[in-house]
Parts: sequence; C-alpha cells; structure tokens
Amino acid sequence: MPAGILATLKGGPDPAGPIGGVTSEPALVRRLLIGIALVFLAFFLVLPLATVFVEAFRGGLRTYRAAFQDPDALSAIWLTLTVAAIVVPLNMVFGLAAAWAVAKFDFRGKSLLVTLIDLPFSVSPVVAGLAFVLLFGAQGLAGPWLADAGIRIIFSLPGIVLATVFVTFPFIARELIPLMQDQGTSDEEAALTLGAPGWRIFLRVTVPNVKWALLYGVLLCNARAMGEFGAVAVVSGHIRGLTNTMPLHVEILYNEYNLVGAFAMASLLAGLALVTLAVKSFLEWRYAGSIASASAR
Amino acid sequence: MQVRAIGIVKEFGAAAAALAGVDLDVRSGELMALLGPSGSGKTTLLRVIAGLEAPDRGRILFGDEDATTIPVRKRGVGFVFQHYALFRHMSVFENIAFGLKVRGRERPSRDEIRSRVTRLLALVQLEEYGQRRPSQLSGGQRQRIALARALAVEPRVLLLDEPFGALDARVRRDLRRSLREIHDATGQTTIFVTHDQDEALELADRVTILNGGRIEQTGTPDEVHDTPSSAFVMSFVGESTSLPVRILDGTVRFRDRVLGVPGEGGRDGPAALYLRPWDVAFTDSDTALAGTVAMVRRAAGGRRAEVKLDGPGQEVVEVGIPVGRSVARGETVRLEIRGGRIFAGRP
Repeated sequence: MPAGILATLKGGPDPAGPIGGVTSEPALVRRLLIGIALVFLAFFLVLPLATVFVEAFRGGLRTYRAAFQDPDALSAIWLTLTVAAIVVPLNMVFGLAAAWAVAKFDFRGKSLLVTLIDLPFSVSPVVAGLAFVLLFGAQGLAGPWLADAGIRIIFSLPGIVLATVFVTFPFIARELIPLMQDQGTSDEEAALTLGAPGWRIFLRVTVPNVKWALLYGVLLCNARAMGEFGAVAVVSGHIRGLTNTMPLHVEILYNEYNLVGAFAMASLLAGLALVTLAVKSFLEWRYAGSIASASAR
Repeated sequence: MQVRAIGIVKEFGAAAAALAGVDLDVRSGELMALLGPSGSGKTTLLRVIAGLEAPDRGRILFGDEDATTIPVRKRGVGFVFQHYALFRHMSVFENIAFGLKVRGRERPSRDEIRSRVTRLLALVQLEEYGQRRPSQLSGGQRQRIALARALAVEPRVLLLDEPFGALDARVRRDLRRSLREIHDATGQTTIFVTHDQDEALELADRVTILNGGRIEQTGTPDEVHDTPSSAFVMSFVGESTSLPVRILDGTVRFRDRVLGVPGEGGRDGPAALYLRPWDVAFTDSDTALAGTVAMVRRAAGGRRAEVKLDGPGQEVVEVGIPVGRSVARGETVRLEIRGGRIFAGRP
C-alpha cells in the first residue's frame, strides 16, 4: 500500500501508538533501517525504471516516435491490446464465477478448487505454454482433429489468448474470494426474501458489494495480460507482424541490437504499468471511505 | 396469517443446527418468541419457515396454503437478519424501496413507492434519514431500517433473527418497546428468535422453548415461567436452583427430612426439586435447614443470597432476600422451603 510505505518513510513514533511503545528504537537504528529500505528501492525499482525511459529517449523524441512507425511494432501493440481486451472480460466472468462458488456454497472438492485457482501462480508460465502446445499443437493430442476442422490455435491469436487466460486467471478470483467469504450470504438472502429474482440479486447486490475488489483484480489482471512473456513466447511462434505481442517484440528488437526500438517499446509497457498503479492508488485514495464500509460489516 | 409447522425434521447441515420433529402453531396476529440456547435449532426453524432452508421432512402452512414448496421470493415473508444485511451501497430510502422496485409487473408506481417508503420511515421514526447510507447509522437505527425494509413488501409473516442481539442494553429496551408498538399497530403475525429469556417474556404473546432440536413447551410468558413443563424449561426460564430429593409415599424428602412441598403424584424414587428464589425463605426455626451464605449478589429484581447447605452434599440454593433484611457473607442462616417444582430424574 502506498500509504503504508509513506508512513514508514516518514518514520518517527506513530501518534496513535502507545507512549514509548513499539517504535522506541534509537534514532540511529531507525535511520539505518529506513536508509536500507530506500537504497533497496532506488537500486531495484527506480533505477531500472529510469534506465528504460533514459535509453528510450537517448536518440531524441524523433527517433522515439519513429520506433512506433514500424508496422511490426504497431501490429505488436495492436495484438497486445486485442489479447487484453479478450482476456480481461473472460477472467472477470471466470473469477466472479469461481469466487461466487467458493464463497457462497459448500461443496465437495472446494479446497481442491481453491488450490487449483492458485496453480498458475506456482507453475512456470513456460510450462503452461508448453502444455497448450502439447494439447493443441500440430503434433499434440487434439492437433490432427483441429487441423481437419481447419482451426488454428497454436502460433495464432487463440493460443496467445488461452495462454494469457491461464496465467492471469488467479488475479480476479483471489481478490474476490476473501471479501465474498467475509461478507457471507445474508445480503443475498435478504434480497431473496424481498422477492428479487436471481440475476437482479447478482447485479444489484452481489456485484456492487465487491465492485472495488473486482476493479483491483481487473487492473492487476490487465497489467499482467499485457506484460506476460513466458507462456506467450512458447505458443506464439514469434511471427512478426502477426503473433508478436509487445513483450515478445521487445525481445526481438533487443536481440537485433535495435536498442532504441526495444527500449521505446519497453517504455510503453512500463508506462502502462505505471498508469495501472496510479489508477489503483487514485481509486484507493478517492474512495477510501466506501472501500472501508464495503469491507466492514 | 396463521403459520403452522408440522413435523419439521432437518438433519445437520453445514452451518445450521438440526431439528428433530417440530410442531409449531402461530396464531394470526400473534407475536411469538422462539427461545432457546445456541444450537437448539431456533434459527434453523425460523429459516425453514422463511424458506431459506428446506426441511428434510414436514410441512409449513400459511393459513390453509401449503407453503413448503413455495420458493422464498414468492413466499411473502419479511426477514430481519441478525446483522441487518442492509445493502451498504444503497441509501436508506433505496434499501426500503428495494423490495417494491424488484417486483416486475406488479411493481407499484414511482409515487406510490415514495409514499409507502415515507410512511415506513415514519413508522420506525427515522423520517429524516432517507438519504443516509447504512454505514452512517447507529446499530439501533440500522435495526429499524431493516424492519422497515422487511415490512415494505407487506409480508404475510414477519420473521426476526436475534433482532436485538448486537445492541447495548438501553437501545435494546427502546427497540423492544417500539417493536411491540409496531406490532400492535400493524397486527402483523410475527416470529422472533432470541436466546434472551427477558426479551422473550417481556415482548411475546407466547413463547416457544426449544432445546436440542425439539420443542420443550409453548405457552404464554406466565405459563412457561410459572408452570414449566420440564426441568429444562424450569432452569432455562427464570432463575432457579435445584436439590436432589427422593419421593416416598407422596412426600418429598431431602436427606430424610420431609419438605412442605406436595409430591404431585410423582413416582417413588429419586427426583429433582427446582426452586425459584422466592420458594425459599429465611426462618428462625431451629429445626429448619441450616447453611452458610456463600455469596450475596444483586439480580434484576432484587438481591439474592447463595446459601451452601450444611451436610454431605454441600448443595447450593439461591434465596431471594426480602427488602429490609441484611445478609452478610459467611453468615449462618436457616431456610424454609415453601414451594418448588418436582421433575423426575436427578438434577
């Protein structure tokens, strides 16, 4: 949480804390700890991020703009946006459905489902990509059948979408499950006794109750969907102008020693990430009150 | 609307306590309390009546209509949840109007909704609060809004689950009175669940006492307090202590001493004598039961002395201290047993 980091950086005793309480370490220790944190932040977060932008603008604004005139670059940006536009709504539906099932119902294999939702976090994205190749590729299990039907999944958009859906699946579900479990089912039951039909309860009661968590999940899911490299790299086939997403295109440009092009593209990705963070922080700040009341009983 | 539950059986579910064959008859316009300890099944019974739980066996009748298979949203019940379950993203007005707005074809007109919500806000004395959010209200105010929201759909029966459970003592008292007033004004058949005997006895026309998924007794507050039908009711409703006694030839004996309590045709053998604090009195007679005052405390209605009886059992009885008599801890006293109720078995 940005607010938490800020409070830590400011240091000093917490005004709400007990007198002479938990932050009574000597000033030297305090400064040392804060210093270490700052150096770490600068070295591992700020410096690399700054480098991206410095390198991108090294050749001046004109070269930077020229990097986006390249049709392959444009097609990579377009593909990434398309994939995100398909994946995020899909995972919104999956995430809501999974969280709904886990939080509001008791059934056999519930803990198994919760574990499975975490699977994409624990499996290497490359393995995930490979699994899809083995399933849908030309030599794969469903390969001959798909070839007969004229459906192409691997080395084309559907494969990239599948891999990205898999990798980003947990973000929305994980954001929703604890909140929905905490809220319980009595709001829905109240709406039911008042005579509301099921879809109406879902739209007017359930979704508004989790809208902030849902929005966080969507933002995080979107950031990851645009930035995913490993799984997409395996299934895309790196066909320039066709199946290259932005992260893949960055790698290609870098390997061709086109540093300005690579960093320009990277700066765009980094910019998207920064915007996502900014939006998240802004929402937290602007709606702190209603977020708190949404998670309170 | 008369509400009847016939032979309701509900096996243990995920969260709910079981019901083992429950028959309940709530008269039209009556205010009925379901009283029992936690795990007695009182909330389960309420949820079965509402249709939020399906019984494994048995039927629910609303008047002469079998409501068992009518889904919750068509059953016409108003339900007030323990933690109110107000819709937090809606204003108070929208909360109350919700049940009217979702009616589909029978949805009342805009003006009608507005006037009905305004009337309900007046009924619960919160006219000024229509535009507030639930989070801006106190616990007692939320409770009133939850009540108004449940009444908005003109339910056939109003059901309340531990309606005053989460409130402090003063607010509880005020709310109890206003629930009673609202009930008297609307004549709405009402069933509420509570574990608080004072609440049940003070508020309800009749009280049903549940224990372990069964009904122990149904009756007016006076009936369940003065003529309890089981040892459980005796000890759960009102204050009581018990002594192990023996019945012999129609007399009640405590350690071979014949007490002045009729045996009431009880079978010879061991039994339990339950005493209200006023069934026992201090006396000067040398031959009466002797004991030592272990503790003096103040209860709702007056002061009580816990007296440990001399002798092998060291039984403790609670005695109501008459106004004007002083009793000190450690004092030796003599007691006379004037009344009490006999139940079979040991205490």
